[in-house]
Amino acid sequence: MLTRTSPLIGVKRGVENLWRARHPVGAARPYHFRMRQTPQPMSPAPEPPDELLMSAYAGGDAAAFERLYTRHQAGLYRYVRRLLGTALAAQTDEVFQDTWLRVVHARAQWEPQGATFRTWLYTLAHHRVIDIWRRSGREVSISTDDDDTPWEPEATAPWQQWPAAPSPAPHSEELAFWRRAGERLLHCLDELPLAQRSAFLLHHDDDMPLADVARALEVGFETAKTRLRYAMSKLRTCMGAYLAPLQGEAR
Amino acid sequence: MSGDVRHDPGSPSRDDPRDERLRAALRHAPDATLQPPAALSELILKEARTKLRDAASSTPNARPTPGPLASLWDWLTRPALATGLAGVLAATLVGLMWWDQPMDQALPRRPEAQTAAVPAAPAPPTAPAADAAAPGAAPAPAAAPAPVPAPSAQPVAPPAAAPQHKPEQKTDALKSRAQDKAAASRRESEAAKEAGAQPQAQAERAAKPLAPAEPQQPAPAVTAVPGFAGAMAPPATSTAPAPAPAPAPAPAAPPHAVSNDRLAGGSGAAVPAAESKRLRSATASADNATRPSAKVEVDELRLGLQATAGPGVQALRAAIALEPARWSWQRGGSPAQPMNDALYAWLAQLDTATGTRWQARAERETAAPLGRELQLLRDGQVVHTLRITGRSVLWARGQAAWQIELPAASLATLQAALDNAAP
Repeated sequence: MLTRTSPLIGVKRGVENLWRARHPVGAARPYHFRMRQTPQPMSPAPEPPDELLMSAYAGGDAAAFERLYTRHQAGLYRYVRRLLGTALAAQTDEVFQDTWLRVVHARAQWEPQGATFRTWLYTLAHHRVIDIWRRSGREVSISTDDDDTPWEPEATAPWQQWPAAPSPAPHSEELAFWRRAGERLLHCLDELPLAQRSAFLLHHDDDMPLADVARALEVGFETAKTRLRYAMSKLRTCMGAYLAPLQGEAR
Repeated sequence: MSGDVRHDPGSPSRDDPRDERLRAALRHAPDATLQPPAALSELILKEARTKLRDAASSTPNARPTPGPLASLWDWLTRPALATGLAGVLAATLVGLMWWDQPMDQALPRRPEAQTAAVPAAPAPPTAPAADAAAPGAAPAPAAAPAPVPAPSAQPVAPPAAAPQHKPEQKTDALKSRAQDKAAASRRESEAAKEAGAQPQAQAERAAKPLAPAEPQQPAPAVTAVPGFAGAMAPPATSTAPAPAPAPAPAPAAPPHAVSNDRLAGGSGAAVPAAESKRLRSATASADNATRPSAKVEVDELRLGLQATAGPGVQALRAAIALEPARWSWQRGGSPAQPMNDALYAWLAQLDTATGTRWQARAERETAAPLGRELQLLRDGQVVHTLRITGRSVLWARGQAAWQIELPAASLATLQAALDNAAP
């Protein structure tokens, strides 16, 4: 049975969502809403999977594409931006648009065989980024540091002295520390080869399983795994050297 | 370390652990909340909707199913079927065009069949034909080689001897079919009249042997002078003995010779339809097989046509008009004078008054009062003599002579006009 809800509830939720989108996790809110938990007599309908939405769009449902776009636009845009790096950041919009237009044009040929829609979407973006890299004269070394040597973390790496991962509601000093860490991480990403960078971003930023990472990059699982470990090692080294002076302050 | 690097609970066991510190740094990076520009998002969504709409409009399923008429039309417009239908249509059209027509007209015209349409042209229907064509009175052996040079007939020859199977000629014949019918009926009526007027000549023609009437030598001369030049040729006054009768039937004249003979005789309008048809079929047989019997039949028919040909002033006028420089006239022993318009107009008046009703005359009149006789000369030789008597007009050409009786008033008018035209 559906219960009547106050119109203010929608406004409060909108303000809350806006705050979450514009501020880091744990930031103090200048307002306080007494959010009344309305009873949920019916469980919300589960979101349809990407593959179903894509099939619906291929069948002529434009709203399905809008839902797909809304679902993946932010993550894909961020992935493209970080993969291109600071030097090619101006090409972000172009790659982002081309990726989605390829989805639009290839809707009839798309079939959910093996890879998920999300994997396919990021594969398209990765290809476009490679094109941009090559067009800019940069070397796209796919096999850089790709050996089969298992990666082992260094026991004395500076990153081991870092503070623990931030809590859901960090205080201001902790929040400032992680903001600087984030800025530094972007610089460290610029130093990574494209293959390692993409593997790390897909795995850590977009929460893609390693198997999907390998599928999205069109490489073997072990290769993807090696790339990921090398990327993490380099990033830890880069981040630890930079953040070491702050380590004591953070503590 | 183990606390920092954790496995995701839902991830596969083979999945590598994620570094929570690096993830935290990614989440706090300045571009963590980066969003695509609103305009770019709108552009992409608009493009997605547009492509979807275009695809829907161009999808074959969106087209309405064709109706039965459209399906029938698609079936009919197949190349093979369309070609067959076009062929049947063309055959039907041709069949309707020739519906209810005799076979001889439906078939491609033979040379003589084409010349049958010539009389509708300015060609005169009758003329004092070639020497051999003189009606009855002209002795057959007199058909000596005509002294008229063959080139004189060149201006007239092309129409008669032109290629017979030209498409335009066939089309022309189609167009003038109605005219041919009317002309044929008129010719039949005139032929019936002339047949009644010249029974004796026909009887003589039927009694004569074929070979003397058409010796081998004169045939080329006659055929080489188609039209009026041959008709105006000077009479065969040569004193050479008549050529011996050919032991064998004379070779059939070529098709254009037959037509030229008919033209020279001016009998195209006077030929009975049945006889003309017989001539055409016989000539066609001769052309195809060149059998001696067919040749004999053709010659016989040609001679018959020439014999039945009566004189006509129209042919004389045409011959003069064709080569006026070679013609002259004289009266009463005066010197010859070139042809002029006044005399040509008098000939037209004579033609109107006499028509084709000339009758053969057994003997030639030897004496006539001066001033009532007109002599027409060709190349300085007297060819025709026209004489106005008290009751009739006499026309002599070589050994042949014709006359026609006219009312006194007409004779007086002609005499006065002659005096004015040729004083």
